[in-house]
Amino acid sequence: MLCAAVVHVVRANVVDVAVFGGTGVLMLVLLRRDLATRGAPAGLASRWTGAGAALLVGGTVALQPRDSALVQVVLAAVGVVALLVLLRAGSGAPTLESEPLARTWVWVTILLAGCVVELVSFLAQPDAWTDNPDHPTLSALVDPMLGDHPARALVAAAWVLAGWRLLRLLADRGPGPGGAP
Amino acid sequence: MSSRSATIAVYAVLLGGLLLATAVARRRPDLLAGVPDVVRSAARTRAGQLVLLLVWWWLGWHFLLAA
Repeated sequence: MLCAAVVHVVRANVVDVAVFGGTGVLMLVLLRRDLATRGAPAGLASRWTGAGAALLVGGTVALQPRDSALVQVVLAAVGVVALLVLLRAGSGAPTLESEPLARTWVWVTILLAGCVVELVSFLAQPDAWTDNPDHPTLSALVDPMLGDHPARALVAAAWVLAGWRLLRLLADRGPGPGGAP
Repeated sequence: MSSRSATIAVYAVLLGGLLLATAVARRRPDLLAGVPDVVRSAARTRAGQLVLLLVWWWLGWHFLLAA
Protein backbone atom coordinates (compact mmCIF):
# COMPACT_ATOMS: atom_id res chain seq x y z
CA MET A 1 0.00 0.00 0.00
CA LEU A 2 2.79 2.37 0.97
CA CYS A 3 4.77 1.64 -2.23
CA ALA A 4 1.65 2.14 -4.36
CA ALA A 5 0.89 5.40 -2.57
CA VAL A 6 4.46 6.63 -3.17
CA VAL A 7 4.14 5.83 -6.90
CA HIS A 8 0.89 7.82 -7.06
CA VAL A 9 2.53 10.75 -5.26
CA VAL A 10 5.32 10.67 -7.88
CA ARG A 11 2.65 10.56 -10.60
CA ALA A 12 1.04 13.56 -8.90
CA ASN A 13 -2.38 12.01 -9.43
CA VAL A 14 -4.59 13.59 -6.79
CA VAL A 15 -7.45 11.09 -7.12
CA ASP A 16 -5.18 8.06 -6.82
CA VAL A 17 -3.29 9.53 -3.85
CA ALA A 18 -6.61 10.27 -2.12
CA VAL A 19 -8.05 6.81 -2.84
CA PHE A 20 -4.95 4.88 -1.75
CA GLY A 21 -4.34 7.15 1.25
CA GLY A 22 -8.01 6.95 2.23
CA THR A 23 -7.92 3.16 2.01
CA GLY A 24 -4.87 3.11 4.29
CA VAL A 25 -6.69 5.27 6.84
CA LEU A 26 -9.78 3.07 6.57
CA MET A 27 -7.63 0.01 7.31
CA LEU A 28 -6.39 1.61 10.52
CA VAL A 29 -9.96 2.57 11.52
CA LEU A 30 -11.24 -0.97 10.91
CA LEU A 31 -8.34 -2.39 12.92
CA ARG A 32 -9.49 -0.37 15.92
CA ARG A 33 -13.23 -0.61 15.43
CA ASP A 34 -15.17 -2.69 12.92
CA LEU A 35 -18.88 -3.13 12.33
CA ALA A 36 -20.78 -6.17 13.57
CA THR A 37 -20.84 -9.15 11.21
CA ARG A 38 -23.83 -9.00 8.86
CA GLY A 39 -22.63 -10.62 5.65
CA ALA A 40 -23.68 -9.74 2.13
CA PRO A 41 -27.06 -8.15 1.32
CA ALA A 42 -29.56 -10.65 -0.09
CA GLY A 43 -29.71 -8.99 -3.51
CA LEU A 44 -25.98 -9.39 -4.13
CA ALA A 45 -26.30 -13.11 -4.80
CA SER A 46 -28.75 -12.57 -7.67
CA ARG A 47 -27.27 -12.84 -11.15
CA TRP A 48 -29.57 -9.99 -12.18
CA THR A 49 -27.67 -7.66 -9.86
CA GLY A 50 -24.37 -8.30 -11.63
CA ALA A 51 -25.95 -8.31 -15.10
CA GLY A 52 -27.87 -5.09 -14.43
CA ALA A 53 -24.81 -3.28 -13.11
CA ALA A 54 -22.69 -4.50 -16.04
CA LEU A 55 -25.33 -3.32 -18.51
CA LEU A 56 -25.61 0.09 -16.83
CA VAL A 57 -21.87 0.73 -16.63
CA GLY A 58 -21.11 -0.82 -20.04
CA GLY A 59 -23.89 1.24 -21.61
CA THR A 60 -22.69 4.47 -20.03
CA VAL A 61 -19.11 3.86 -21.14
CA ALA A 62 -20.34 2.97 -24.66
CA LEU A 63 -22.44 6.09 -25.06
CA GLN A 64 -20.19 8.68 -23.42
CA PRO A 65 -16.78 10.09 -24.36
CA ARG A 66 -13.93 8.54 -22.43
CA ASP A 67 -13.19 11.69 -20.48
CA SER A 68 -16.79 12.63 -19.71
CA ALA A 69 -17.84 13.59 -16.21
CA LEU A 70 -20.68 11.05 -16.32
CA VAL A 71 -18.25 8.15 -16.86
CA GLN A 72 -16.15 9.39 -13.94
CA VAL A 73 -19.23 9.65 -11.72
CA VAL A 74 -20.47 6.16 -12.67
CA LEU A 75 -17.06 4.52 -12.10
CA ALA A 76 -16.68 6.34 -8.77
CA ALA A 77 -20.21 5.31 -7.76
CA VAL A 78 -19.43 1.67 -8.52
CA GLY A 79 -16.47 1.88 -6.13
CA VAL A 80 -18.44 3.63 -3.39
CA VAL A 81 -21.29 1.09 -3.57
CA ALA A 82 -18.83 -1.82 -3.51
CA LEU A 83 -17.03 -0.30 -0.51
CA LEU A 84 -20.32 0.19 1.35
CA VAL A 85 -21.31 -3.44 0.70
CA LEU A 86 -17.92 -4.63 2.00
CA LEU A 87 -18.11 -2.42 5.10
CA ARG A 88 -21.69 -3.53 5.76
CA ALA A 89 -20.57 -7.18 5.76
CA GLY A 90 -18.77 -6.34 8.99
CA SER A 91 -15.93 -8.02 10.78
CA GLY A 92 -14.87 -11.51 9.88
CA ALA A 93 -13.75 -13.12 6.66
CA PRO A 94 -14.96 -15.47 3.94
CA THR A 95 -15.03 -19.14 4.89
CA LEU A 96 -11.87 -21.01 3.91
CA GLU A 97 -12.77 -24.57 2.96
CA SER A 98 -9.14 -25.64 3.02
CA GLU A 99 -5.82 -23.96 3.66
CA PRO A 100 -4.61 -23.15 0.13
CA LEU A 101 -1.45 -21.22 1.03
CA ALA A 102 0.87 -23.97 -0.18
CA ARG A 103 -1.00 -24.08 -3.49
CA THR A 104 -0.93 -20.32 -4.18
CA TRP A 105 2.77 -19.75 -4.82
CA VAL A 106 2.33 -19.88 -8.60
CA TRP A 107 -0.24 -17.05 -8.49
CA VAL A 108 1.87 -14.99 -6.12
CA THR A 109 4.98 -15.45 -8.29
CA ILE A 110 3.22 -14.41 -11.51
CA LEU A 111 1.54 -11.37 -9.93
CA LEU A 112 4.74 -10.23 -8.21
CA ALA A 113 6.68 -10.62 -11.46
CA GLY A 114 4.01 -8.52 -13.21
CA CYS A 115 4.35 -5.80 -10.57
CA VAL A 116 8.15 -5.79 -10.94
CA VAL A 117 7.98 -5.52 -14.77
CA GLU A 118 5.42 -2.72 -14.49
CA LEU A 119 7.55 -0.87 -11.93
CA VAL A 120 10.72 -1.24 -14.03
CA SER A 121 8.86 0.07 -17.09
CA PHE A 122 7.49 2.98 -15.05
CA LEU A 123 10.95 3.85 -13.74
CA ALA A 124 12.32 3.71 -17.30
CA GLN A 125 9.99 6.55 -18.35
CA PRO A 126 11.60 9.98 -18.86
CA ASP A 127 9.05 11.35 -16.41
CA ALA A 128 5.93 10.10 -14.64
CA TRP A 129 3.58 11.17 -17.45
CA THR A 130 5.56 10.25 -20.60
CA ASP A 131 5.64 6.66 -21.86
CA ASN A 132 8.94 5.08 -22.84
CA PRO A 133 8.35 3.28 -26.17
CA ASP A 134 11.26 0.92 -25.44
CA HIS A 135 9.82 -0.15 -22.08
CA PRO A 136 6.04 0.32 -22.31
CA THR A 137 3.93 0.00 -19.19
CA LEU A 138 0.78 -2.11 -19.33
CA SER A 139 -1.25 1.10 -19.55
CA ALA A 140 0.70 2.27 -22.60
CA LEU A 141 0.01 -1.05 -24.34
CA VAL A 142 -3.65 -1.41 -23.38
CA ASP A 143 -4.71 2.22 -23.76
CA PRO A 144 -4.84 2.26 -27.61
CA MET A 145 -6.97 -0.91 -27.57
CA LEU A 146 -9.59 0.88 -25.49
CA GLY A 147 -10.00 3.74 -27.95
CA ASP A 148 -13.13 2.23 -29.53
CA HIS A 149 -16.46 2.52 -27.75
CA PRO A 150 -17.46 -1.17 -28.20
CA ALA A 151 -14.14 -2.48 -26.83
CA ARG A 152 -14.33 -0.12 -23.88
CA ALA A 153 -17.95 -1.08 -23.16
CA LEU A 154 -17.07 -4.78 -23.19
CA VAL A 155 -14.13 -4.23 -20.84
CA ALA A 156 -16.34 -2.12 -18.55
CA ALA A 157 -19.02 -4.82 -18.41
CA ALA A 158 -16.39 -7.52 -17.73
CA TRP A 159 -14.85 -5.32 -15.03
CA VAL A 160 -18.22 -4.91 -13.29
CA LEU A 161 -18.97 -8.65 -13.48
CA ALA A 162 -15.52 -9.46 -12.05
CA GLY A 163 -16.14 -6.95 -9.26
CA TRP A 164 -19.54 -8.45 -8.54
CA ARG A 165 -18.01 -11.93 -8.21
CA LEU A 166 -15.21 -10.52 -6.05
CA LEU A 167 -17.64 -8.68 -3.78
CA ARG A 168 -19.75 -11.82 -3.32
CA LEU A 169 -16.62 -13.62 -2.13
CA LEU A 170 -15.38 -10.77 0.08
CA ALA A 171 -18.74 -10.16 1.78
CA ASP A 172 -19.37 -13.85 2.42
CA ARG A 173 -19.37 -14.57 6.14
CA GLY A 174 -20.36 -18.21 6.04
CA PRO A 175 -23.37 -19.83 7.68
CA GLY A 176 -24.88 -18.79 10.98
CA PRO A 177 -25.73 -15.42 12.53
CA GLY A 178 -22.14 -14.69 13.52
CA GLY A 179 -20.68 -15.58 10.16
CA ALA A 180 -17.63 -17.73 9.70
CA PRO A 181 -15.71 -18.73 12.82
CA MET B 1 14.90 -8.46 -30.31
CA SER B 2 14.27 -4.83 -29.36
CA SER B 3 13.66 -3.72 -25.77
CA ARG B 4 10.04 -3.00 -26.67
CA SER B 5 9.49 -6.47 -28.09
CA ALA B 6 11.18 -8.04 -25.06
CA THR B 7 8.95 -6.10 -22.66
CA ILE B 8 5.82 -7.06 -24.60
CA ALA B 9 7.01 -10.68 -24.66
CA VAL B 10 7.39 -10.65 -20.87
CA TYR B 11 3.83 -9.33 -20.46
CA ALA B 12 2.60 -12.01 -22.88
CA VAL B 13 4.43 -14.75 -20.95
CA LEU B 14 2.90 -13.53 -17.67
CA LEU B 15 -0.59 -13.45 -19.23
CA GLY B 16 -0.03 -16.94 -20.60
CA GLY B 17 1.09 -18.02 -17.13
CA LEU B 18 -2.14 -16.71 -15.63
CA LEU B 19 -4.25 -18.53 -18.23
CA LEU B 20 -2.25 -21.73 -17.74
CA ALA B 21 -2.55 -21.49 -13.95
CA THR B 22 -6.32 -21.03 -14.30
CA ALA B 23 -6.57 -24.13 -16.47
CA VAL B 24 -4.36 -26.22 -14.15
CA ALA B 25 -6.32 -25.09 -11.07
CA ARG B 26 -9.57 -26.24 -12.70
CA ARG B 27 -8.21 -29.69 -13.58
CA ARG B 28 -5.96 -30.27 -10.55
CA PRO B 29 -7.27 -28.26 -7.56
CA ASP B 30 -5.13 -30.47 -5.31
CA LEU B 31 -2.04 -29.13 -7.08
CA LEU B 32 -2.89 -25.47 -7.50
CA ALA B 33 -5.50 -23.35 -5.72
CA GLY B 34 -8.23 -21.83 -7.89
CA VAL B 35 -8.89 -18.09 -8.08
CA PRO B 36 -11.76 -18.17 -5.51
CA ASP B 37 -9.52 -19.96 -2.99
CA VAL B 38 -6.70 -17.49 -3.57
CA VAL B 39 -9.12 -14.58 -3.07
CA ARG B 40 -10.54 -16.12 0.12
CA SER B 41 -7.01 -16.70 1.39
CA ALA B 42 -6.00 -13.09 0.71
CA ALA B 43 -9.26 -11.86 2.28
CA ARG B 44 -8.67 -13.39 5.70
CA THR B 45 -8.18 -9.92 7.17
CA ARG B 46 -10.20 -6.75 6.67
CA ALA B 47 -7.05 -5.06 5.31
CA GLY B 48 -6.74 -7.84 2.74
CA GLN B 49 -10.39 -7.41 1.76
CA LEU B 50 -9.89 -3.66 1.29
CA VAL B 51 -6.74 -4.17 -0.81
CA LEU B 52 -8.49 -6.66 -3.10
CA LEU B 53 -11.43 -4.31 -3.59
CA LEU B 54 -9.10 -1.35 -4.15
CA VAL B 55 -7.01 -3.19 -6.76
CA TRP B 56 -10.12 -4.24 -8.69
CA TRP B 57 -11.70 -0.78 -8.59
CA TRP B 58 -8.50 1.07 -9.43
CA LEU B 59 -7.83 -1.11 -12.49
CA GLY B 60 -11.24 -0.12 -13.92
CA TRP B 61 -10.80 3.53 -13.02
CA HIS B 62 -7.28 3.63 -14.48
CA PHE B 63 -7.97 1.84 -17.77
CA LEU B 64 -11.52 2.97 -18.57
CA LEU B 65 -10.94 6.69 -18.16
CA ALA B 66 -8.87 8.77 -20.56
CA ALA B 67 -5.32 9.34 -19.32
